[in-house]
Amino acid sequence: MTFDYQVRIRIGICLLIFFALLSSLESLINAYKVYGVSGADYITRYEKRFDEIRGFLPARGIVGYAGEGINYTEYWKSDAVGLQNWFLTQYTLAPLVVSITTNHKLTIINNTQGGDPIVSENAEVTARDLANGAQMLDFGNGIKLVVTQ
Amino acid sequence: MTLRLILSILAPQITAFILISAVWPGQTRIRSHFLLKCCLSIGAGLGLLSCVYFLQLALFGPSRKGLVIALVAVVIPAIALFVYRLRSNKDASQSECIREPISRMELILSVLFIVAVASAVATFVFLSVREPHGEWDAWAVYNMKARFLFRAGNDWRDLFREPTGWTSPDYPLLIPAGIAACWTLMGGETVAVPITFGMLFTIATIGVVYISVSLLRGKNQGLLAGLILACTPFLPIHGANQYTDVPLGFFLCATLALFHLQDTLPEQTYRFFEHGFLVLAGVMLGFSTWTKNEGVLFLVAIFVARFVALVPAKGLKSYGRQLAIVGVGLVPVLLVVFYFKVTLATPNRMLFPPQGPGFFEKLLDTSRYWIVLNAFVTEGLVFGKWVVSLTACLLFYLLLIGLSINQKEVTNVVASLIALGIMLIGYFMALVMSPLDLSGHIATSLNRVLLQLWPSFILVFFLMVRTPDQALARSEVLSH
Repeated sequence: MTFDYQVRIRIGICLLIFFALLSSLESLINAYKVYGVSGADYITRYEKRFDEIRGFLPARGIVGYAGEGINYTEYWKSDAVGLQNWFLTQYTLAPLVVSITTNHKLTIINNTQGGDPIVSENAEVTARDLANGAQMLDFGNGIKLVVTQ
Repeated sequence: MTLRLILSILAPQITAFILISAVWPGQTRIRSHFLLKCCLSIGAGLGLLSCVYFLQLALFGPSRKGLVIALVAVVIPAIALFVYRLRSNKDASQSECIREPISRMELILSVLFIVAVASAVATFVFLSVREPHGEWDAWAVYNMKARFLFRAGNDWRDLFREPTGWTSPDYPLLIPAGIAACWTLMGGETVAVPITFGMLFTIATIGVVYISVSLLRGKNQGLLAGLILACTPFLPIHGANQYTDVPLGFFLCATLALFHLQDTLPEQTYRFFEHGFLVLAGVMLGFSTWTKNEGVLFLVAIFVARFVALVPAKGLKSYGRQLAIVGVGLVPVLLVVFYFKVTLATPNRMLFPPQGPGFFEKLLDTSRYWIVLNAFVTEGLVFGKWVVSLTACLLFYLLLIGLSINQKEVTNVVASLIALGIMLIGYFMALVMSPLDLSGHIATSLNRVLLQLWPSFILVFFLMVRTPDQALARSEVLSH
């Protein structure tokens, strides 16, 4: 009986440690599986899409933002991809404030819908005049800039 | 760049180490409790850097030179205080710690603990290489704010200008300001800084739990506690995600650990430095409020819990005295938080939501309570991402090994349990009253807020259960 107790204690401690280490090992293997090459992560590639437009934007201040999936009156009801695109634009362009409010001299249009951003990162810029005297610059990778006079 | 990175992160931690050593009770030797001091210095150093940077930014504007001067202004009194402590303690007898021979169990547990920490570090590294910018909340809120503070120059207040509030402009700035401060010291931006922050807080959390339990309940118990924490996959995963729940978890468990450690010392009413752990607990408590808004709830939880546990046991006077000493460390940090909240932060969108059902409508809606309760139970059972239910494993272990709380520890253990209970109730009610879509909010936040409490729970759990040595010794007694 006393032997049983000691064995039970030992087994209990061993089982706790075993499951702990097994969980840690499983987590390590899963992390290794998703491990990729540095610099090729989604956000780093996403940020590269904005290399061209940066030259047309002020360093600071506030610009407008428009994108698919954004609910402009109640932004929290926007779809996840739309929100992600808006937030990533803000992360990339900080300290520029990227706002979904209207009446801005410059408005960024970002339509990627979660597609792989690396596909068209080096496209050429084309300009098009809009009916209201505004101009739209198309960076060819889903990003456009509307310049209102 | 690498050298600058190391220096920018190491400099505030050395400062914090000196300050911690200066107020450390008993022996003032550097080597005394070296590892614990190092772990505490990680959080305290980054917290200190963040506060100094924020104040310098708010009062004098952005300047690298100004930041260096401000840090030097902190280092000099820290060294002076440390030298004063060294001199005043010169004649004190410095008993050498006699190291007992290592038992077989300790050796095995030590090796397994090292394996567990190495595995957690490797997991962290793989995930960080894959996602160097962290996950959603990291890049969308904290790292974005850090970039803003660092890049905006004199326009840094624009960060609080956006009217929609998705960036949580009411959130305190320990992590963003800490990252921006390191970039300022380095003179450039790199994702290595937030990654290093995540790594340091992850390791320091494991370290605080391991060492505190070792000091309070013996080495084997400490190793077991550290091992369980290191093997909880959520810790390195969310650490690598650069979520601030890990730093907050660090400050929470460091606060509790320091309260517990204080009670290992003889009560000496009139010697300030003998209450050094309480001063440090105040500092950690303060930094928890500077990390996330949940820290304010923890502040209230600690005060209430210690009142309930301490007053019946030791009287109101003892509680008041403890509070005053905790205040020495707490108040300077709280003043920074208060300044931030008054001058910059916008109203909290959880407390004052622009959307969703009304306050009383949510409060009286019983279905919301059931949904949240169900989520707490479900998440509680699968929490930690173990291959089996971690909660069930610990419950099984508790039933097998049994409880054994040191007489001296009872009041503190009760206080810690009450504090953790208040935190859980607070998180529960925050979800019930959430202005967001309830199921979505639960899915994206519950495991993270539970992770904030997890290191503290492990700490208290292993202070309560019988140690392996006690359990095996008991079985030997039974056999005779």
